[in-house]
Amino acid sequence: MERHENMKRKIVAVISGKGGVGKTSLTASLSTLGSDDSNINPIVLDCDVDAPNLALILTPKRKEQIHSEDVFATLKANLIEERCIQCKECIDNHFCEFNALRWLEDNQIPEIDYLACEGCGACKVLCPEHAFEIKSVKSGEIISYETIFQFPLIYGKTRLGSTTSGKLVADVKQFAQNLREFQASNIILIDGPPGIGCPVISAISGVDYVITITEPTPSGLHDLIRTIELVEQFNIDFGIVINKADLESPFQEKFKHLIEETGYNILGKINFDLSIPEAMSYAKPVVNYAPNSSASISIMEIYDRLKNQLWNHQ
Amino acid sequence: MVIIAIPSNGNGGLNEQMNPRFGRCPSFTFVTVENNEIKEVKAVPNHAADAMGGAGIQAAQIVGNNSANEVIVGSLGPNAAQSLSSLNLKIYQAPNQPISVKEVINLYLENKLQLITSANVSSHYGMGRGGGMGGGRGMGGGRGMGRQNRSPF
Amino acid sequence: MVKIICVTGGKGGTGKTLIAVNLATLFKNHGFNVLLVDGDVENPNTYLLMNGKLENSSEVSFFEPKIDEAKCTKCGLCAENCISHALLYIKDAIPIPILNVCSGCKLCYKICPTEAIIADSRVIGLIYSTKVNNIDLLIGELKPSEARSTVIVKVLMEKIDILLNDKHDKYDIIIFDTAPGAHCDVEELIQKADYVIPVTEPTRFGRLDLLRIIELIDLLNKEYRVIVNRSSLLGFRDQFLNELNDNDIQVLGDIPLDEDIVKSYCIGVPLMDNHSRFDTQGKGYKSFQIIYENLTKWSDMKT
Repeated sequence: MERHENMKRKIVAVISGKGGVGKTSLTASLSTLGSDDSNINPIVLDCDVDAPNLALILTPKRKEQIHSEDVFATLKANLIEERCIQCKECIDNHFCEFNALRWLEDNQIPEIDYLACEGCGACKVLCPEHAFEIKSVKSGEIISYETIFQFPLIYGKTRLGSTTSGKLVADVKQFAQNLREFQASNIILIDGPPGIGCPVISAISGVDYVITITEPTPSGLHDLIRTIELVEQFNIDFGIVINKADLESPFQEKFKHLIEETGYNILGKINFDLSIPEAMSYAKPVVNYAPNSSASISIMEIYDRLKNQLWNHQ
Repeated sequence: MVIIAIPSNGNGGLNEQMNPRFGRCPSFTFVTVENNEIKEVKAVPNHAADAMGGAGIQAAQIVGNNSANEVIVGSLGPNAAQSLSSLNLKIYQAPNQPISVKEVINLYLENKLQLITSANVSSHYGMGRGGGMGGGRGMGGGRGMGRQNRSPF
Repeated sequence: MVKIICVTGGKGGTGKTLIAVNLATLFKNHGFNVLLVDGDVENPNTYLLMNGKLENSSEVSFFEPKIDEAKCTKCGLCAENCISHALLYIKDAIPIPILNVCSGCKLCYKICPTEAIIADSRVIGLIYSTKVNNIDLLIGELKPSEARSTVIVKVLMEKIDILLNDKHDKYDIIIFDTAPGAHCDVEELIQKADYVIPVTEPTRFGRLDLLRIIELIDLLNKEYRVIVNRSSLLGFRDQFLNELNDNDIQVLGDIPLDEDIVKSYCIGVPLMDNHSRFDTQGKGYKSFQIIYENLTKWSDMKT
């Protein structure tokens, strides 16, 4: 790859729509390839905040240096009982659009369903006695450390019951921007959440490139199309990686045909290779565990093509 | 006559450094320009900086409430971008390097800043069509300057 | 009394949908009236595994504030009280809705002193209602670029409530398929269920996410029994099952890797379908039968 003098930092998000097609595995390998590549200085983010798994592979260099901070981004309503005059207006006039308020017949006061409450503050404003308050509660944690591969890993983990995965994803990204390594880093790699909803939108927001992973099955294709619909709405460049590309299945022909028809950018294909689950079972990136395997060779090609697409199309 | 808002460090003013983050900058410096000359400078603290959410939107309100017509920014989150756009403010892209308010205004006066038109604000700052939620704090399309917490080593 | 079974799992790609579809098929084979609910509204796949079609759609709407400029006095009260800052207000100007961050609480609509805010809406998703191979399907689908999947799940739950109240004899079994993760969409579905089946795989990633989903299930005070899918992967089966046993985690059964399963997945015919040409002596087939037996015992379903 040519080195440009003013190589601009690029942010790449790896998503998939469908869960379990290999986001974490690919992100882990791309990150170690980046760390061995001078001038890249990757920073890696695990934004699958509801099930962060990258940390199992990209382990800390020194356990004592694991930094953890609580995030209090979730808002919840709370009743100030002394102020409640039991007028029941909150129920009768349907203050809460999220059905988080119900009347307790025994105590004759409203009860807030913690999980349903979205902290919108409507009850606080509408209650004539100001008997509701809105409080910040812990929504999750952000954990960061230097990995054994000499680059930082930052990940978010939601507190169970939290409704603000998307916000935590944004906080993880913000945390990365404040790291001192950010200035020298030329690739920020984001392991994204599955799906296409709020946390995924937050993950891909403002990135330079999206890698979307799929597999040649009906669900794989269906979810790929929905993911691409989302990415195109955000006008972000993207490339498709087909995992288990040579999977023996009656759907293969149809899949190949449909993908070729669309003319989408295929960043690469990884054939079915037991090295991948084996590497995962040893908690190692496959390019480190089995560098000569077909999977590793494909991933290295993907890495080179990615760099090309990131910088030579400026 | 044009009033230009610039996110700034510290208490703001011409000699302060420009701050790369629109929503969470410590202050805004408002520069009134007429006949290609600086006529007036005013600095205002950014109360949105500590906001838990919606900082970009609140910051856009501060900019609007101080009658700015134009803004010069480093990085801009999608919600802030949408807000500034809906206020019909012209958005100029500052260069990707540390720069003072005075220096960036000079670049502006020399017509050396890229104008981000409302048509391409969304692609420039990574916004989607349709409703999205989730913090909207994109990393500014790789143009962030990120000089916070710089290590002395 | 209808029984609700929720198939979930935390880790993506463990086989939730595959298992939900085959369990629904098994119950139907044994003469039960079955409803299969696809609660993975960001990427609903159940119908794909059954050669089903998306039909009979109804729209799911989400609130959007719209300002009636003639009535608006530009007081800014709406913006001032909006916790999400979804109304951009410059002094003495008409507020501008920033729809991306609007929570849908309708507070602005409720407090405007001149009723200048109209409760408009936009479509954020669809609910499909269909029938395939004698199994009723209720599917939620979020529109790509929309963020609020929980709204769609809540509408699905409302429909279930109606079924439970008005037509409580219609179904014997309702099966939920959830999204991956342990977030509020998944929670909504677990909360409504009588029996929860987390699906995992015999790897450290499977284990990590299983423990997390169990934490959520415990928080919601629900009974659960695990299915270990792809149990023959890399020879970890026995070790993994022993570990679950040591931790008092009850297992409904395990399903080994089986080419017939992959095939069934790709051609859209459930492995356990009555009329399927799959080998009834196959490893996968037999393991599903064992699971079904254990499930009927656990859930007390009389054949």
